[in-house]
Amino acid sequence: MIQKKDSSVSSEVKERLEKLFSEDDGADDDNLFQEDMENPVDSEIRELKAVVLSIDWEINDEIMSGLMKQIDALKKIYQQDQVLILFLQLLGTVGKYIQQKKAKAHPDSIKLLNSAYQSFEKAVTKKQLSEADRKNLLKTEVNRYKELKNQISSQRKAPIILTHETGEYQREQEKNRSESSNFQISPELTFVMEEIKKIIQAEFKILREELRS
Amino acid sequence: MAFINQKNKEVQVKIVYYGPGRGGKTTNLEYVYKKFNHRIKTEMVTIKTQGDRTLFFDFLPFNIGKIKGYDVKIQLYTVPGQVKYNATRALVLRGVDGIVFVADAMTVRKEKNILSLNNLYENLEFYKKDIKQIPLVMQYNKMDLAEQGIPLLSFENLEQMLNSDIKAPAFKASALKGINVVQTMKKIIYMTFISLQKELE
Repeated sequence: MIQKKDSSVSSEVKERLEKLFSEDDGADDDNLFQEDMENPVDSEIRELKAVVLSIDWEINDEIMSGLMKQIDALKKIYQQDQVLILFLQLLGTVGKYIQQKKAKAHPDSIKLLNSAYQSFEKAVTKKQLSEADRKNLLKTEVNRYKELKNQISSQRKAPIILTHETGEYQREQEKNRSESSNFQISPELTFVMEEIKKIIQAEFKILREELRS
Repeated sequence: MAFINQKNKEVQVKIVYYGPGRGGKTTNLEYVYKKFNHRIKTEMVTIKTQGDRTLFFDFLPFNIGKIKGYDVKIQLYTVPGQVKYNATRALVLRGVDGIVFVADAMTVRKEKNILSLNNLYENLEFYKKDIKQIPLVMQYNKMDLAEQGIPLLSFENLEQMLNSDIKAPAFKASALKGINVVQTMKKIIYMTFISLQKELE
């Protein structure tokens, strides 16, 4: 079908965007979401999952005490199940560490909290798992915990070279500089670096004003 | 106001993805970059902190070709969502032409969405821009989490809470899965151009 050529800006933009960003069907994906859960799990577990996921986004006292409360509630429910109790103790220990260190917590501690939760959920919901399978799940998480503990204690011993938040970026920059003396900065990166400079200057200006007042 | 260079016939459009921390702004840009990099041929610049959060902003520039004889460059930005980085957010908003507000559909993030929207309102006011006048698209992200049993705010609830006054076009989305990410972006670019139509015609 030949469409009448519209000369307005809007139709030109539409055409361009379709050409550049056409996906398989191009339709809105609203129907792809399930409004209801297919496999509802126990509400206490769901609540724990929500708290664990929240920690991945933000660590504050309210969320952390919510985690502890939820763990205690589940300990009461599963007091007869030794494996689940040990899982909850592990979650509690990692949670306490994160609660104490907050944003300074080792990044792997949040990963461990997530993976320990997932294994716990499996141990609770997958009825076909044997006792040995459940113990293996627990063993894996305990080993991860031990590994993290070692990492944290070795980190304490190592000299701190970069403590600023941008350390990773700076290290990357240093690496780039030493790897290639012909390193070319792309125009995009130059632009971004200029913007960052402005932002840092503005942040410092605000900080100075705050200190003065 | 978009940068329009009449001499070189060039237009630069700045779109900012705004919203609470960990809401999926960076994931939106990453999806676009990964999926369409072979077509848009660009570099995405992103600077994160150790905990994987956006420290300054993400920047994804690309060219969409000629429109009305103008070479059109789109610049997608994100802002750091954490409350403490407000100076950065305000600066990234300077010269903004269109905004995508990426809200987090999780029930536990209800207040964070409201705080972030209020913060956007205030920061726009600083530049004498009205949130109801600037092209804006609402994106309710993480809707896929319903499958995992995570308590989510309903679309209606989110609309009532965040969009009843602004009445912007809204999408349910999952930035992680790429659901409605491109539709959101197309919509905001389209709306921004509609607002620029007079200058270009």
